[in-house]
Amino acid sequence: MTERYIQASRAILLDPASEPSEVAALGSGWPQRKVRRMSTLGILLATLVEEAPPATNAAVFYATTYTEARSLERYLESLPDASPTRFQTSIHPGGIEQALILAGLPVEALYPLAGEEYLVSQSFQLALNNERDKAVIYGGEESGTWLADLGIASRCSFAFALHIDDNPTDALGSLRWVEAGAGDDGPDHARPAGPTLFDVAAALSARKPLAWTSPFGRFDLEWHLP
Amino acid sequence: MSDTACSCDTNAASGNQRPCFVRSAECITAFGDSSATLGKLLEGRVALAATPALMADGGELVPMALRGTFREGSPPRWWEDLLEFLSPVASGGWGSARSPVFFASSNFGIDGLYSTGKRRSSANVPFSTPHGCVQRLRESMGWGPVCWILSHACVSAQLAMDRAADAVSSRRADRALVVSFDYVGPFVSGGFHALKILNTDMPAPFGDVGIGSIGLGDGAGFVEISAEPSKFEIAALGTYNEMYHFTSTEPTGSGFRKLLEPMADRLRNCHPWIKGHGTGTLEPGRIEARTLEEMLPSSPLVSWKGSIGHTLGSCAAVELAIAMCAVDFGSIPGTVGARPPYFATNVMSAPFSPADHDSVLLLCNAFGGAHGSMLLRYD
Repeated sequence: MTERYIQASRAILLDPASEPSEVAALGSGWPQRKVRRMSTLGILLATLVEEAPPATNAAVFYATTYTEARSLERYLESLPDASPTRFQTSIHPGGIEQALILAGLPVEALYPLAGEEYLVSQSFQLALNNERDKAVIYGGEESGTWLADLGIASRCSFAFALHIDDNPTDALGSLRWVEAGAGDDGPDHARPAGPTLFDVAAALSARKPLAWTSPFGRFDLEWHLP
Repeated sequence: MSDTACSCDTNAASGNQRPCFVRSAECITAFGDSSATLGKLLEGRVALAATPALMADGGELVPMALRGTFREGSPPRWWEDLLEFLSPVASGGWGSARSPVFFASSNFGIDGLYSTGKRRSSANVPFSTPHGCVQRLRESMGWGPVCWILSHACVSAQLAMDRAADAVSSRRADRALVVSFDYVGPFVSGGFHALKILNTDMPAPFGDVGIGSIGLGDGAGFVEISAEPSKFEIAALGTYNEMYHFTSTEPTGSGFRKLLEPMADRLRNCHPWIKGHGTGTLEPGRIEARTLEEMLPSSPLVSWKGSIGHTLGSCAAVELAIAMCAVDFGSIPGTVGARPPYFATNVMSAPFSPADHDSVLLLCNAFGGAHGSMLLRYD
């Protein structure tokens, strides 16, 4: 079993009905010449980075299934006269890079992950087992329009950050992983997928526990404080 | 110096960690497999050819090295090519907890997304996302669900090898397979053309020329990492992310120093040659060449992207396979596509013998000032 302790967590879930004004409010504290070039997901992640910056020697994991969907749409709409800015912000892992560049924060280890069905298990497993003392898991999506209609973008924008380390003192909670047992990595249909990125954001926001088993092992997220 | 900055310094590993090795690696480029590509590189041949920036949709002619002709469709034009390339590892029982797969790419099925964007139809949706591409690949290969998808632009394959080596060296896995592919599509070529680094000039990596440029190339590679000893030992791995600027390298070269400082002891105890990133862009090339000349003055530096193009997220796996093939063959290709004057004195233009060295330092870079490295010993 591997156990790490939650030192900080935060999630931002935007209301689709008021997303533009919420994003504008979040971005109002930074130079507008910089914010203008950022994606919605970049601004959400920049907010999380500003509130609790990752240590340079922490391992940073970034999980997103559809990445910056609206930026992708805008880049695709710009073709054949391709927009260089939209190209930059639509490239995985543009969201977290925008945030870290805005904050001027170098990091030694950044592991951007893509995926869908097991993405939470995949990112948590790597973060829990990484060789560094500290890790931060960022996740999120940016809402799309016509890509969402086609089923390849999120309908809402959200982001979360989960800071874990080896220090149990005053920890907010813990995250545990137990290696998959024999048969746990059997056929996909035999195993539940586990939570989605949105489920994690909602659980962090409400400080609710999560527990699941997947081909990547058994995971338990627990809170120590009410 | 921080030990932790080197994510998998396997020889220095303590406790439960163990050494790990590259058991096999293979690639395909516009020239063919690693052996065919090596032969062309040793001859100084260039696969890049003038190609419309938006491919079938036209545009300015820019250098690309493709495997076949671009066409839109579903499955995408690269699908059968990739399946054939991966057939030697299809039956390996991959995709379990003890034998995981690490997929890596910068753009996955991005030409599927390009088609989806043009037509707004669902026909290309299955190949329009990384997970869609990987799911179909896994199903076609008969691999299990335990896989990861890493995507960090042009350091993607290096990060996948980094995590694969960590899984093996920390004993969570017996072996791990890295699969990386990037085939050029209009989405990507149009974007690099908009950034003006893909232009009408042919790339001249590490050449002190007036205008910087890159060429794009199709590429795919697979790398099997194992605890079973082989000729090629992973002596050190490293990553560093400058976060100085989205598309500019920190001008003093601090990113390269931060990347290599944690493996300085390793580097002092071996005599590597260097396979640099060397895309052909001016400032990053100048900074890379001069910083490496300062840090490792007796190590020859080469880049092959002036020939096969920049294979983007797959470049670390593709160029690792070529490097291993070159070591086995007994001749390392020099830098192709550039002529003197170079940015640094250790840039090699002619082939040289791997026997004069005991290791190779493989480097790659990406947007955001991302750096990845692998020190591979072969003595």
